[in-house]
Amino acid sequence: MKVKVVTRILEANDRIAEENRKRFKDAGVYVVNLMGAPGAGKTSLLERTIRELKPHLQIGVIEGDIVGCDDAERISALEVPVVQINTGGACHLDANMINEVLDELPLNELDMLIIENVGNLVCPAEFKVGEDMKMMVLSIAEGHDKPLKYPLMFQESSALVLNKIDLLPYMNTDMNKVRNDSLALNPKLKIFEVSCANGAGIDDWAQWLSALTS
Amino acid sequence: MCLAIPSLIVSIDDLVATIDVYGARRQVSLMLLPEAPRIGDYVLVHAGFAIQKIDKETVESGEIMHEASIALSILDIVQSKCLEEGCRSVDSVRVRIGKAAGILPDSLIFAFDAAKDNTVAKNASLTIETVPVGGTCHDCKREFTVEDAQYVFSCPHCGSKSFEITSGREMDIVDMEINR
Repeated sequence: MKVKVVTRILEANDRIAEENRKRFKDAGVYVVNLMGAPGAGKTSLLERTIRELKPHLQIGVIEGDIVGCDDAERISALEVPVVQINTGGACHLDANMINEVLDELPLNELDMLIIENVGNLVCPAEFKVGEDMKMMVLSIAEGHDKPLKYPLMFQESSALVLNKIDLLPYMNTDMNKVRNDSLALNPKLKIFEVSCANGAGIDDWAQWLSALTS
Repeated sequence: MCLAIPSLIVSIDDLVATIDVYGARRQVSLMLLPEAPRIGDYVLVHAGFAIQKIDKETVESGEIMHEASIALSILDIVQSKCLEEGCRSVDSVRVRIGKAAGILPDSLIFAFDAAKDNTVAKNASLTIETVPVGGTCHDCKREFTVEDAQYVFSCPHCGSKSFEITSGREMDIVDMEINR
């Protein structure tokens, strides 16, 4: 016999994401899901952002990686609370992994929690973790074809940080194409150009980000 | 799409196993596995728990995909629905997947077949209906669908850039054929 099911496949994940979101809201913390390919500069952007905002905001970090805790050590050197999640092979963080580590963070003392997702341009875009905003880092060295090849992440993100602009003189990256294709996929996308190597553009980006918490 | 790395069990101490992931060692809980694994078995690991044993041939074929976690979510829902309905076995499960959902149908079927052993759905086939990307234009007010595309830049009728996407991101279970 046939039985109707009619359930969203990711229903269980979305339900836990909603629980997380409620906890974040009760604690008054703004949560950012930071996504991007391996090597795009997610951790470098985090370091720069924390240095810029630390005098004004209490920031906490969750680091997601397949194995290892190098990233958490880099962030911990900046003296902000950080928790490392090792996904042990999984290509993205999901709501349950976040839920399990929340007790390790002083949520009530934080203004902002930044969750650095596993380096990947595809899978993290599909899984909500309870964030207020999804954003992505794309380094200009990855090439101008990325928005049209990986549309989902560009569509899901509210902000796109184009990193490594100090390399522009050495690359053939067509920045207009990156910008135009990204905006065609997502007209509301806010685009920033930065260099985590020399600090260019970090102040504009950090100012915009910190305004979201008020 | 992307690879979920299968983990090799190198030692077991009661319900905790040490696994090897491309040379890195870590500990995972075996609580969620229906049967105790042995040293040398491969498992898929999720949030510190081994959740599924996988056969060696599957691992060596290198085709454990990201779709595995979607397949496991489908099986979870199927199992709880079966408990509710009191059924003995499942013949088929029908899902609806949008073209822009980021899922490869062939990989999803492969992952479903690899993960369904030891579940009530072990004899079930997975049928996938794909849903094209579609929307409604704000200017000409007409509805549209596009075949074979993951995104739309302008209304195919009037060229307007002001439109709303209404389908193509689906990831739903529709129904299943069961035996009581």
